[in-house]
Amino acid sequence: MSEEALSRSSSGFRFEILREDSGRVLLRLVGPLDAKSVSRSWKAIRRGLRRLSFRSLRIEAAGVDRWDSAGVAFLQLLRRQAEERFQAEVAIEGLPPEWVRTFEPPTSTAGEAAGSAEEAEGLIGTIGHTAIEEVTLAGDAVAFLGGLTRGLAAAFQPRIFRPREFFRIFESAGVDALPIVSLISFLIGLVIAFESARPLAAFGAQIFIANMIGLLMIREMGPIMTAILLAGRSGSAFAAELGTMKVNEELDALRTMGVDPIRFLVIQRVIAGMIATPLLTIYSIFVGILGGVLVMIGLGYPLEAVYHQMDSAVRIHDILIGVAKAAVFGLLISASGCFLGLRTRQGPAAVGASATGAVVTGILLIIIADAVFSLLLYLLNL
Amino acid sequence: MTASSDPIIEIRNLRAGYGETVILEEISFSVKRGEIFAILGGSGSGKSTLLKHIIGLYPPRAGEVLIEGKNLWALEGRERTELLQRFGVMYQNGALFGSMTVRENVRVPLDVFTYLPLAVRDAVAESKLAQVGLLAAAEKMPSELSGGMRKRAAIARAMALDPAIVFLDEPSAGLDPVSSADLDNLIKRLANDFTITFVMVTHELESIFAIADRVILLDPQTKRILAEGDPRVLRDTSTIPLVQHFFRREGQSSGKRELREP
Repeated sequence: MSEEALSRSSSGFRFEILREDSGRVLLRLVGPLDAKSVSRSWKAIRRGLRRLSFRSLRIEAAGVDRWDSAGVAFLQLLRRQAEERFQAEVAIEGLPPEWVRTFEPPTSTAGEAAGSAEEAEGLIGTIGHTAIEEVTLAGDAVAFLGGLTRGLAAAFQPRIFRPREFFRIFESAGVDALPIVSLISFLIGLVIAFESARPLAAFGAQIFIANMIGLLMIREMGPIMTAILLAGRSGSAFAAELGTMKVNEELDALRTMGVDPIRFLVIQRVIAGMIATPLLTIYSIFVGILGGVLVMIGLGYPLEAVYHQMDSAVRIHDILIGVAKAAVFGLLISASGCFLGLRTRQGPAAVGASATGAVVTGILLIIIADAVFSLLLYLLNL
Repeated sequence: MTASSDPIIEIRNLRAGYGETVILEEISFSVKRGEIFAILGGSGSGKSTLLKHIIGLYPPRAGEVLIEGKNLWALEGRERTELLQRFGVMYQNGALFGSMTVRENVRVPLDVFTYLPLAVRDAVAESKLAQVGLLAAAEKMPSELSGGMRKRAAIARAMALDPAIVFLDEPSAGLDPVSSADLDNLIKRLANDFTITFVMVTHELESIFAIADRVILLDPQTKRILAEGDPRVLRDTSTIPLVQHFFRREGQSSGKRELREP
């Protein structure tokens, strides 16, 4: 019997790895095989085994006087690795009967079958699954758009429209947003005026701050800032509300009643978003301009001069463009928030994920739509 | 019992599952009109999945589900909606709409599907709430209700359109024994008074022995039906070890005394 000696002792636990004459490898374990001894010795045992190549391994555990789950799990791992790496036959002796049970391969249930299928998937499988998921997402989005369009067309059937729900949402998305919109718009107007004051002064053109504030707030900053605020406040709220309803099976309840969740829940939110965003935008434009004008008055320009300057720069279609943008942004935010809410998966983390997704998607869509608007308006010479 | 021989639900060779996972196979059984029918099985045996297939939330992978002789998945538009109105569902946690009062929750199906004046819809909602003993809580929000009250409100909502069938997902899960017994009595009374067919998914043996006329027991190993019949008869006469195991072990708390009887 040639000995591949690797014996160590810690807290009474010993192991040795021997090569028997038949070529079989014997791992003998003595003492307590528990979380403590396994954490100390597993590396040494694995190293010792890896150094030998073998077709057959016998683990002799009769000398083990204390077991716990960690010890049993460790033996299980050893066996699996030996089987996989060396295609070795592994025999374990001396495992107490109460632990033998835990050694048997788990009886297959549906859940585990699903889990192992996922585990077995390699890189290609991952790519494939991701692709399928994306295609499904696109399909779902198209179906949602269809449902939304159909729902909007039929929106004013009072029985399904539920005006009270609409006003509740309009209040929380629109009215309740006034303070934060005021603060941010005012500061933005103020900052733009301040930042541009010095460079424009170099050309003696400080009066043009009025043009800049007017056009910038009306065409860009007003709609964009309002929309981003709404995406953060309401897009996420829509996703979280609908997501929670999904997790609570409320959406299932609607479906089994034969009620389309889009008509029952989404339409009010989308219409509220489409009305609240332009109104908030007009308000934000006003407050932003107020901030800028205050700076100009501080710089010594009379209010009348500022008024005339701004009046000459801003045309009515600028305001219409700002408001139209805002309506589109409102649609994008509330529709994407609701869409992600309806797609919420199961479990407590899913609602959070949907809410986060709604904010990110909402802002992304706003910026893309804004770029498209800019390009179109440039081409149309507006 | 008012059960007649006329089957109100028929499941034929259903293969149930979602995604790529098959949970149940070759499921066939029928439920008679007026019966209290229970789908039994341990955790993970697929009872809730089976229920979701029957009520049309998941499409069958194979086979068919007939409710009053009609296949939900073969119908579209108006016909489908009409069939959906023939049954109500009580979800495990009630699934009441959180932004509405209890009365409004019960009224939703009436709001959506009837052209009744509001006062009548309110009155119907109130009568349903009275039947489940919740009239006093009509103006409360779902968040103010206890678990048992939520379930009762959900049953009231499920019955709003006077359905022929009410499905119950784990009616006694999370309830104390007294509330659970109250709920059992309520179901029994509704089944007797209104000839409503109840189909429930459960693993509460106490309720099963108290109210179920017939049960099927699902086997997660074979993914098929293990046994079918009167639960008391199954308990006393079945020779299938898993059936005995299910009925006796889980029944220890309540059924010990009865088990000793021949």
